[in-house]
Amino acid sequence: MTVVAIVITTLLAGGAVLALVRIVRGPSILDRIVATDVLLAVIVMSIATEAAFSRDATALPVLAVLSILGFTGAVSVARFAIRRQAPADPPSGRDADRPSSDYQAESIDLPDSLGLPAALDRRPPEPPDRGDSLSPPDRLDRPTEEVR
Amino acid sequence: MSGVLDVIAWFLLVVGALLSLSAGVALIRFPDLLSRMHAATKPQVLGLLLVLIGCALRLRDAVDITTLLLVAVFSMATAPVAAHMIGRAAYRAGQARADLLVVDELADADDKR
Repeated sequence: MTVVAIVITTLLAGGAVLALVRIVRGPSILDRIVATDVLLAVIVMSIATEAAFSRDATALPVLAVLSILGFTGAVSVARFAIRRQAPADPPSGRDADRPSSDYQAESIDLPDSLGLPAALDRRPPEPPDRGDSLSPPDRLDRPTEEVR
Repeated sequence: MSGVLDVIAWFLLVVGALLSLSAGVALIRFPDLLSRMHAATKPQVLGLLLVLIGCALRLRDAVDITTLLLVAVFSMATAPVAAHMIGRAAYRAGQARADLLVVDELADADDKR
């Protein structure tokens, strides 16, 4: 049983260290998100393994919290990465380089997909000229209908 | 009976840990983000499920198994959503290497960016 514990600990630690290397070296923020998800899965597996070996269920609620927290972090950082990296025409374009109207037009698909109420949606009534939304255009008409 | 269950639980724990190591190796060696995401799902879903089943076989208590089932349902419901968001962000940011794609169904779409 001790041998099995050592083997499992070695395997989990190897996976965690390699995920950490990808977090440090990752060329983009999305690589780091993926590696962070793997690291979080390894942490959850470590806590479950510890609970299994010691037959102690104290740490099990931590697993439920971690599984939800990792999802929230990954989705929010992915939305942030869309906003930062969407203008690919200048490859190293920052938000400060662009006029503020473009910035407004780019951030419009944030509240709708996050399930916020339409009253918080301050998008302009005309569709964005950049055309960077994957959603159908009739979605833009819905908030004004609900306001009336 | 309990010895058999313990052996099965250890085997499942070792396989789950092996999946996490394989995902770490693939994160280092795979060329672009989408293939790294493919490798990253192995410990997130299969490895986690194996470890949770092994943990449930060790604990054998109804309350603990319910908590483990809750963890499994949470992670399996949220992992596809997170992967979809990351993959969409990667494609729209131009992080997917076009020479590694077999099929690119969004290549002709007007609003892909």
